[in-house]
Amino acid sequence: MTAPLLDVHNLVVRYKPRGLFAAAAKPAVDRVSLSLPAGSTLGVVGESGSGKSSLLRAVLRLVPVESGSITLDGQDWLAAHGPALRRARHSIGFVAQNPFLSLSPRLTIAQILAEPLLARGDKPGAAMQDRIAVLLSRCGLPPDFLPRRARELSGGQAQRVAIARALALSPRLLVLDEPTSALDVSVQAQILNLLMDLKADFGLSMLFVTHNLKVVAHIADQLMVMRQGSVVESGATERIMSAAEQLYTQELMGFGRRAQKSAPTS
Amino acid sequence: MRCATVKGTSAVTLLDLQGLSVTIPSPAGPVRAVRSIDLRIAKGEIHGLIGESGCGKTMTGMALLGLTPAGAQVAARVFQFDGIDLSTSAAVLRGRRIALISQDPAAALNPVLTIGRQMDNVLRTHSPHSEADRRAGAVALLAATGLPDADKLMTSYPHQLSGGMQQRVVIAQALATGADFLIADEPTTALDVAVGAQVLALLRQLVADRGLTILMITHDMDVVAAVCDRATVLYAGLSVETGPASAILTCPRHPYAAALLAALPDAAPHGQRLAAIDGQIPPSTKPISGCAFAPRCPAAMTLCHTVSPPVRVQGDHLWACHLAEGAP
Amino acid sequence: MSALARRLGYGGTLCLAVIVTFALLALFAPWLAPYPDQGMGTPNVIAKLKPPSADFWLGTDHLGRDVLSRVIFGARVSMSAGLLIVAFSLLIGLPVGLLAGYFGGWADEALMRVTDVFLAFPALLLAVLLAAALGPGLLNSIVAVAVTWWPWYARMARAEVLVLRGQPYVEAASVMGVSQGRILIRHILPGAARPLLVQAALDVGPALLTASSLSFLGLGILPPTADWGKMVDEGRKFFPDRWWVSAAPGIAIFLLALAFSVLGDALRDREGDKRRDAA
Repeated sequence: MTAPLLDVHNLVVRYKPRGLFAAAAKPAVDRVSLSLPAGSTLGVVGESGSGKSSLLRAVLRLVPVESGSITLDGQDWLAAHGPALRRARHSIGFVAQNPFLSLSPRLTIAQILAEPLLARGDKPGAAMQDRIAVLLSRCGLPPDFLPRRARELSGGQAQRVAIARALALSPRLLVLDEPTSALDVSVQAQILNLLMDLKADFGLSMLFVTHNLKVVAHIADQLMVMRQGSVVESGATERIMSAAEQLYTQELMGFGRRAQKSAPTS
Repeated sequence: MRCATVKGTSAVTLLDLQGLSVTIPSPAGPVRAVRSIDLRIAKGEIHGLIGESGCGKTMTGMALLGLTPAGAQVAARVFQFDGIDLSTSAAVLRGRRIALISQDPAAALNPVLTIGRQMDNVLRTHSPHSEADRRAGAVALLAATGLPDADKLMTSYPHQLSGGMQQRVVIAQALATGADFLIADEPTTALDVAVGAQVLALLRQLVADRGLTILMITHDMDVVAAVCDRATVLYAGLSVETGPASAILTCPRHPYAAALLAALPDAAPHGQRLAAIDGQIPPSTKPISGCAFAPRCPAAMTLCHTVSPPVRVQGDHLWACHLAEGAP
Repeated sequence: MSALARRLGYGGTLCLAVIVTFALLALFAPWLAPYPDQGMGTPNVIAKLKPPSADFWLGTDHLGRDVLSRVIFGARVSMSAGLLIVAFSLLIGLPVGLLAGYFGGWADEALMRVTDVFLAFPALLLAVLLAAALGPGLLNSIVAVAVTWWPWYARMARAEVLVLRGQPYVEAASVMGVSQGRILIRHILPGAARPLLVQAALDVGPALLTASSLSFLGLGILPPTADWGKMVDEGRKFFPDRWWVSAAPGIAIFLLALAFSVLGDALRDREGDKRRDAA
């Protein structure tokens, strides 16, 4: 049994209370632990206010952590600062919910994909252009997209660019924040297929954060259900989907079509 | 699997819409937001309008409310609401017989007025009653939408309520106009799952109690399954299939409807590739020859690219496809 | 031309035409002015204070110089004063606002308190004081106005940065390990600069008005160089009997300031449309 790629232990994230006399805020993430083995996918599911986004932002080092530890690939991930943190960031790829907001509106796709490579210190040139074209085609887009800008793309195409950018530095961990929530069902299927392919090809580990249990249940090996900052239930996907212990998890599975699940689609 | 033939019903038609088109002028040429949509909704039914972005579902709702953007050309062969011609009077019926429940309740309510004040603003324009009577009416309507302590709520401001409660207030306002036809545009998308389910249950109950009719605009098949009696599937501004909701969900006939259901993440076994639909919807600035779905359809024949598909009828399940039996 | 009209509207296009006309007059003044030497200041005392005529289309001033030639040469001073004031102000205000907004903390506090001090004084009064202290001259008056002007741009740039800093694409860049300097230059500056440039176009009119005011008060460029503000002041003594001495430069100031303001407005509307579309 190898050590997990990402290990979060008793993590507490608490935002500063607003105002001088405000009482101390409740923690947004309250003693959450998780462990993500290399090459596997963990789905973190929760509704608004569940703390799933704060957990994700803590893993990305975008919000300060009050207590607890995060270990990435055996290293103390919270200890990195300054230039060391910047270098360490290259081992995590990040895909946000809305690709149109997360891709710089004034840069071309080629420039957007060059950003992480330049940040690592790669020299611009033919080799970099090749790498960019390969990345893009690996994510299902032909090279004639390179000179375009994000706003000229459809939602699914833009999200493919965002995924290509996240993969540019060959990270071992991909962090996904509701990557299909802004997309149509048919496009969502394309993106989920792409993620499954990439995971198989590159042995990626994924932390997939979403409010939609059905979406993440399809591709996650493990699930973790959060509510009000705490973990409600976690375990293997099959186990949770077939026999959720918590009523809340069952609620999240939705209503409606369960009744008709017995009748398969033709 | 075998799809049972569904018998036609003979309910009273409230909305009869045939060949609706909405064209919006733009610098890049006319945008066909709605190309040709047929929609027939019986009194007391919840009718799902299903489609992905760009299919024209929201614009159809706007046309029913007389709220299409300035300069838009709205045309239809038949555009009747309860015997009234909507092409001339949609704006008149809005807020009297037809009301809108939008996706974002927080944006639909005025943040600086109390709930009571906002209810009264609606009631005052619709009823000649005294202030005390109107107040009692407002409290009764709020209570009817399942809001606890409706009396106390009258002095609250929208931001003091949760999203689910705000959506109930919006529904109460719609009822206050006296409307009997509600257009609900993704009413649960902004809400948590459990809260959304409660709001859907409320709508279902209001239909039963008050004889409302609802057009439920949605992209969520779970919503269709939960509350809709019948549904119409839109693609590229065209209605491609209409019928009982259960028939569409379990036995879709149009290849697009079938593909849409097959693309859902729970349609394939865990970890297996999903049946994504390749390609893109045709641009709304270009005219369509043949079947709009032909370029993406796995069962397309040469004929499909040139000739508009015929409407197939099986009981009250209708779809437009060259394949006699619909999706393989 | 129709493409331009669609982008700026007919008012904006007309104003652009006015501005281009004045710019051409300024650029080619020695060739366009009927009496270039008088435009540059040579007196012509035999024709003092003549009303408009075929020889002198806009009359002559108290030294007998052709008012039309003086107005044409004056365009050089007013144009460059308006543009340079705004350029200097942007040059100071934009970097200050960017740094304050992006890094926050004590740097933000310090820089913003400095702008507060400037903004607490009436701008014109401060400019007058500074111009008096620096002494007359075109460059001094431009510097005096720019010093009172930049805090507005600093404030505006800071507000833009605060919005952009929280944008997901800026966050995405920082998660990728892009350095702060590069985030600021490549991801934030292009977005923050646009509304500032529009505001700057809108401000050229008021800037040249302020510069003209200083000249009017005798704090601007020195005679005999032609300057509209100075000319209005000189003509004041003969007003209203010999109205043409003041009227022509006054109308020129009015036209050019108005043209810049309306053009800036048209640009701002366009920017607003873009922002709405992006949302």
